[in-house]
Amino acid sequence: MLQLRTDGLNWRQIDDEIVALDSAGGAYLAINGPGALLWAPLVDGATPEQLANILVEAYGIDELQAAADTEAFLGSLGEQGLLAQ
Amino acid sequence: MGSDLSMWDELEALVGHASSTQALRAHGMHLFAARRWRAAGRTVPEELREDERRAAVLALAAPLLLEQVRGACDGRVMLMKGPEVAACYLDPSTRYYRDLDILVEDPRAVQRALISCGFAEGGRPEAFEDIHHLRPLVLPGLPLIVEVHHRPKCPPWLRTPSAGELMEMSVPSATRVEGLLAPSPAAHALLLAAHSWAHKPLGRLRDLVDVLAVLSHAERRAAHELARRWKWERMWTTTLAAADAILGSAPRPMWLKVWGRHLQPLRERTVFEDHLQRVAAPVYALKGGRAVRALGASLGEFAARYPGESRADQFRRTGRAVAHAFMDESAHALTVQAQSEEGT
Repeated sequence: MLQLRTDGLNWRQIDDEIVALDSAGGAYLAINGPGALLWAPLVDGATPEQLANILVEAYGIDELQAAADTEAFLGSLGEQGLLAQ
Repeated sequence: MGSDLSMWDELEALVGHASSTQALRAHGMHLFAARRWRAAGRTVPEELREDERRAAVLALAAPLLLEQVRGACDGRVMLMKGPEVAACYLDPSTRYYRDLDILVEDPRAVQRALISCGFAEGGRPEAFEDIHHLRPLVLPGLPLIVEVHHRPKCPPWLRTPSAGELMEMSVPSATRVEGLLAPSPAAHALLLAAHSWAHKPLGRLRDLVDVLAVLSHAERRAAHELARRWKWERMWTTTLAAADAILGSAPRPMWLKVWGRHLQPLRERTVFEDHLQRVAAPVYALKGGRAVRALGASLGEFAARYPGESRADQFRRTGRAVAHAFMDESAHALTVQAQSEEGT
């Protein structure tokens, strides 16, 4: 199960976009498209498979592509230290 | 009391007839317009989306900074304007702010306390020697500025209430930061009106929206009584008459047809209108003899040099203002900036 950090990570949704402030790292992020779609499930906690299924349903892409996109997005979040340990 | 929904409908109509995105920005109504356009299925221009992102980040940072400020200081701490006003908006995210205005009774002690907690001072020290707040503070990593005030900003021709007096009529802050105070809604509405007269008398639609939004959480009678006590009646009734006419169904006073031409339809004021309205503000906001005396002082201030400005620079500035008299304020500012970058 993967989840976004709860300490020092604040965010709000503007239309189809997530704007987040990581006060611990002093970084601001704007996330749109598929990333924004996966943000809310990650707040509550989700597995990579669940996230990939969300992309399959939303964009009609095949499972392999969805899994790759999910992995890339999670990798990016992880690099920025936004996922809970 | 409570939010007057009809005001927001009037506002929607006003922004719908705005002359440009720049005019919406000049009036502080660009976020409101973006939100309403999106709700109506209209495309929001990318420049406004960027404004929304920036405003969202600042709004996310505000409570974090306020908690730091509250935790670092002893004594009473009052938040004015910014997020405190935004909380009175129908949609708080449509009220933009760039700084946090903190009023305290011992500003130098608070400034020192904040610096010892990691805040850093910005700005040239000489620019803040004799004004209503100390040098701006930033906390590395957070994008908002904190200004520690020893008094609220008021026009020179109005008596300014002391921090202690305002603290006595304070309420808990709407930001829900524990221990943080705010002016009572009646006092806050008056302070917002006075602040507007000090900067751009009836110049910006957002100032009128702020006053009515905050006032909707107070008894109007209480605000009138306070205005009477502070000897601010004329300024207050003039502000309210303008706000009620522009954002409500009150009759439009004759003077507003000249003074508020830039509000309906919404457009930027020209350089000429801006100078004229700043100089003539006391005539509309004070009674009889006080107005005449304040007008004299206002004209003197207009003709005076800025601190540190040479006589040649003063002539150059005045000459530009005359040459650009009928130019929008933002275009004038851009031209001045470009010329100073070229060294002309």
